Amino acid sequence: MRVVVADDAVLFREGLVRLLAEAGHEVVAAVDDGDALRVAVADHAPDVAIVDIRMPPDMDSDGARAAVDLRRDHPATAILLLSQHIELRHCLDLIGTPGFGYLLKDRVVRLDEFDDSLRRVAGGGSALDPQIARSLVHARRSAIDVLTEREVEVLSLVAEGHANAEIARRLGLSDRTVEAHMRSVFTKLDLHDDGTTHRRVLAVVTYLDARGP
Amino acid sequence: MGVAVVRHDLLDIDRLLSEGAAWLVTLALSAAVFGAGVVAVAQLLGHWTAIGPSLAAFVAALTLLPVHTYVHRGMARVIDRDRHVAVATVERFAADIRSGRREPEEIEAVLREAQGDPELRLLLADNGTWVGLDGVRRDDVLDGEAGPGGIVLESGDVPVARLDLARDTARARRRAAALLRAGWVPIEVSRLRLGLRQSQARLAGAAAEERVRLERDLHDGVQQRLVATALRLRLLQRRVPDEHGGELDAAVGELLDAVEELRRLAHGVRPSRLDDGLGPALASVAAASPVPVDLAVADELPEVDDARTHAAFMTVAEAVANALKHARASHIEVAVEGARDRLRVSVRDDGTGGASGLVTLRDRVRSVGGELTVDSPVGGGTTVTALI
Repeated sequence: MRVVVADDAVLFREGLVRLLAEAGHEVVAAVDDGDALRVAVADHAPDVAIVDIRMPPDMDSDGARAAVDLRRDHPATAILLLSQHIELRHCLDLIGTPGFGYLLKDRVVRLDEFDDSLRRVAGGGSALDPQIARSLVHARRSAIDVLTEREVEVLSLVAEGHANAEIARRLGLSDRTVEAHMRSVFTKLDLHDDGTTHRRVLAVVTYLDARGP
Repeated sequence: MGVAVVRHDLLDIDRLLSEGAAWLVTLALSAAVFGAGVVAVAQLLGHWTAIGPSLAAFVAALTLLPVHTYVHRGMARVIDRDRHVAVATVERFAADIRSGRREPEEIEAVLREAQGDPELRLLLADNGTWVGLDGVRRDDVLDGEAGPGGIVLESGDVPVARLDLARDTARARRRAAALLRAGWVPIEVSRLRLGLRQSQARLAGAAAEERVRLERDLHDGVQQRLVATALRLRLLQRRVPDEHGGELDAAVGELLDAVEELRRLAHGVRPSRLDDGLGPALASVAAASPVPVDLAVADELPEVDDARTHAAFMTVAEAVANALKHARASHIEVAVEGARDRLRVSVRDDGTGGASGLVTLRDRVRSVGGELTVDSPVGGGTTVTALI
């Protein structure tokens, strides 16, 4: 997988580059601000851009704004945003679109999970930090109180971007039970389900995000 | 403290007339008192003696001043009735403030009514400039002394307030000067309270800025380094023999716990989700609550500064924490709506009620010029409402 990394924190960026290299990915560029990121993506057309939200010059949401531009100018490049804390202001429109992920930086340290998220995003899927998924689910609490507790758990994991098999593993359930919960969730929320993981995740995230704050 | 009204007319015909007449009447009354005294003593003793005139003179002298005051007031009422009524209006207003029925800031409206000049304007001195009672500078008001139509109220040579008349006649000025003197206390109190509000707002603003800076330092500084270090250890872990791997694993775990703790700490300083707006920040409070929280945030909220947004957030966060910790609530309702240019925040729970305290929260809300009310009958749940 060809990756561009954009982060101004040198130690973290170097660590991330090494980690990606050891996991067998090719880091084609590592930059430290939004403008350099735009140039690097235009030059290399990578599979994924991993972008820190806060970068120079104004140390605010440069990364998120650059991500919005990249999505418009280079839709084929998947985007994985990273930040020290959740900050959705500038990337709300990207949540729930194919090939977009947003994780807290410390998730990177859980190497396997991170690699999993990265591959999902690169493959056109979605990866949302459990904290984001939780707040999206909560914001729609009144709308989803038709669901059982177990169904809400399943829904949250779908919102994080996981496939059925992974959800089954995490909840200690069989694939078939998860599938049954999933059907029930989609029926109760009146969502369309064509059975593919990506679309299922997008449907759920779009639903959750629709009228949340 | 001496109070002076400068720049009012010296040629005060009404006053001269009224005072002259008052003295004449007082003199006549004093003479009558003296005469009556002499006659009364003579009648009482049955013969003329020196005690009579002396005693009568003494009584006349004693009554001279009270009689003059009384007569003067009566004359003023007759000769300049309007001014008398106007001054009495302002004095009654001052008394109403003392008994807590009205607020000093209403003085401008009272002066307008008393002066019969609906476009009259009261300006307060604020560090060498003139501002309205709301603390806002008026574009068309020049600094320095009052121009035509302006009367300045001074307290110990320091300008306190200025009255700009729309209807400017010599008579109007004389009356306005009398009103200013009568309304000096409410005016000065308004000015001092304005200064207090301004300095509170400055302090709250500085504290809010400091919190933003501290939150950024925690996230972008310390937390960033901890995560980077954890990442390095993780990479190192792959190169060391397995028997040391467990040790490194534990170290990484410690670091990640520290990051989580730091995130909670920074959240206490200033929730970074406030960057996304009050609604999303409150959604994260609701999400963290173990009991259901119904959150209703109005779509359109008035724009308020960071200090006030933060105070609104803290009100909800602390009221919810209180409901969970002390009231054993099973359901909490949070509502945020606009009340003109302010935020109205309310948190209602179905807990045990009888809440006390919330002193720190009250101070915090007050520091941004807000008000906090707590309604918590025993056994009847608690409602915390803040207008910020």
